Amino acid sequence: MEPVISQKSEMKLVGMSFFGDPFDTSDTWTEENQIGRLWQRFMGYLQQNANAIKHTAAEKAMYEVHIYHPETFEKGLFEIFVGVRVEQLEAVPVDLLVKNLPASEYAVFTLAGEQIASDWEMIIENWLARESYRRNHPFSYQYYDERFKGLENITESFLDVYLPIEKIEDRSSKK
Amino acid sequence: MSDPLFAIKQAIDFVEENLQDEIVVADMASAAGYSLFHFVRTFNKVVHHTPYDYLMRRRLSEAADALVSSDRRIIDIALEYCFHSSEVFSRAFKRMFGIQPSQYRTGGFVDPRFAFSPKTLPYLQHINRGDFLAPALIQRDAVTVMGLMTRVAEGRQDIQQLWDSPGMEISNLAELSRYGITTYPGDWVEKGAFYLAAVAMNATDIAGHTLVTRTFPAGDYAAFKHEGSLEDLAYTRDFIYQSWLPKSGRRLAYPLEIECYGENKEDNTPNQVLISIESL
Repeated sequence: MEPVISQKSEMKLVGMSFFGDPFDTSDTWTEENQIGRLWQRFMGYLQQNANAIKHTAAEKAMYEVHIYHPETFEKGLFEIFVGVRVEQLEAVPVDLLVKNLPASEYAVFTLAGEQIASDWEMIIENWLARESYRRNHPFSYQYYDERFKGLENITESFLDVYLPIEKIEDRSSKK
Repeated sequence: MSDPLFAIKQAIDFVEENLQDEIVVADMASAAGYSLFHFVRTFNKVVHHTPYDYLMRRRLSEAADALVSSDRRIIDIALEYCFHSSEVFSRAFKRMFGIQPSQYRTGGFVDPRFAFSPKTLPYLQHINRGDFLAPALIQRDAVTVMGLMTRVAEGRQDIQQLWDSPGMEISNLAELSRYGITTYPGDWVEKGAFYLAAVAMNATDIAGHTLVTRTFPAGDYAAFKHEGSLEDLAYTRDFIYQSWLPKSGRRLAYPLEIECYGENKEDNTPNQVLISIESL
């Protein structure tokens, strides 16, 4: 799976986040993982508060951002953020958070069907190990638009994963 | 793609080899050959612990063993298992075992029910087989049972002998619900637990003089289905004490365990295990 390299300008997202082990269900005793519960919390909020987010971008798309902290590598704890893109910020309610995704070059991987539920992060890691690029920010995001038909229709679905990268000029200096 | 159980077992083996080294969850993922995110997802699903929780419980269990099997200073044991101060060690230790390391040392033995054992492939295969992991939380009335009791140090041969024993003088044995009740005396690690092979007693049942009668208290119980063989019962028990109980917000109310047998009298494998619980 080869990515498309594309330059993107800065983006502002408004949404909600979770920090912890996304798959730790010991405190809930439900099958639903924390990412699923985060989406439910956010979608529920949007239903109850239809006009809470102003200047929503003209796209039928939602974002899931995975942010890496020092504790991610040490303890397997991730920050997961879900949200929508806005053209400008205005009166963001206290229930919601803002994420500013930096302008950068991005490697865009399009996942198809069952690939979405596979270990696609490994595909990305392998690609990084092969190519003269490295991560330049500690996050990646998934772009959910009308091509994503839901986990129950995963075989007909597509999902784009964006990884912010920079070119390594001298490969020998790569960490 | 490799079998997830085998991949996770690689990470578990890596933990065992590095209990005294400064390893992190990302290293466990590399050992499994997975990306960190996919590893965390798969580990939780297969083991029912977060990878970090698994690592900490293994280190604490080995440290607990070192506390009672050696007379090294507690701070040295703490440092050896990557706890950077005795405060951090004591806090984590108390969270897992309910007492301070020094008290644990005074107690003088490791109760293998509660020490977190390294998980084996057969264990992982067993707990990933069915849906028995979520117990039914039930209230039971007191039950009076009668039967024969023995100490079981190891193996279950002695238990089968109880059922077949001529001492089991119950005229209508075949019609009664069968239970196996294990109680844990203070010296059970050395001498074995007590096992009572018993049936629920009824006033009309005629019983001989060799039988022991006991009443088990009314209260809350967690009932786990047991699917699999008699040998697998040890894995169900490991899961109950080492994984379910510590994360359930409950503790044992009475140190007893009730095995329930099915209708089929030929089947000597219990199909349910109950423990007596109360809220913390």
